[in-house]
Amino acid sequence: MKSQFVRSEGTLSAQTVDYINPSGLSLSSGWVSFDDDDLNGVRYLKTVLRLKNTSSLLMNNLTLHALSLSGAGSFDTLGGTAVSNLKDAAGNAISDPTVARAMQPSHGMTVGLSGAKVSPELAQLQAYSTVETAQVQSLYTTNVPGGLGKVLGYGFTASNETGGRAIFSGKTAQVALAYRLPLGLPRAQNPCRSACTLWSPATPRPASLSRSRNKPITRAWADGRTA
Amino acid sequence: MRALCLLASLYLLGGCASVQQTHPTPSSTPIPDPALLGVIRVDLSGLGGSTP
Repeated sequence: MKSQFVRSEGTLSAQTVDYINPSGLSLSSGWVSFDDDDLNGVRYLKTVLRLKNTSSLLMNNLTLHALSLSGAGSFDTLGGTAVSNLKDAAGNAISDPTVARAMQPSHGMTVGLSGAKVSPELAQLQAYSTVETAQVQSLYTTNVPGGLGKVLGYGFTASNETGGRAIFSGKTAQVALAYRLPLGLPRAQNPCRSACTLWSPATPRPASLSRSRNKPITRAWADGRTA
Repeated sequence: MRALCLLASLYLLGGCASVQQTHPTPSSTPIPDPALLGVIRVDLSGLGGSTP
């Protein structure tokens, strides 16, 4: 019989922002947590970033795209994923790419006695079709000549204070970055620390190009289109 | 009670995270690697949680 052990609150803490993007987007303190859903044998790693539109223009569907990096030295990610810097509970590095590949992006989840449920305000995972991913890759290549990254088929799209996806000048938003990973034994060797690598052009579009604030979005604002 | 306090302390200490962007602040002097322009690396740290 599988025992049930649920950590419903996880860890909350402030974050340090090392650099501020000068092109109109700033990242500020958020909080992190990890939650174990032993009922289903999975762990959720999650961090919530706060963002601010420091430009004079509207940002619509601002998305942080998952990015795989190779040949970038300390910024390299593992096994073609956006994940890096995996460590277990004892602080030992995990370099096995299969562990990274087992980490699946997720909405922000809340774990309770009946398992994990999506937190509506943190349902910010955005998946992309192959065609859409190629479009973002093209945008990346255009904006980052010589860039070493490969854009992956998902990202995390920020929500404003009322849950919409339009971030007006001077306004703040939040975005949840979350991953789900299978729990193996021994428990101490499961990842409990990780990093993910993302990319966003962070070049706001003129408000006139954006027409939808609350409709479901299938494409990132960075594509220059809204759903 | 002591165990609860210890657990709470672990929670508070455990979740440090950092955000690294290759863009510098406007006043910073290091020039970022152009090949990493716009890259954001976010630590997803979780210490504590379930007992190993």
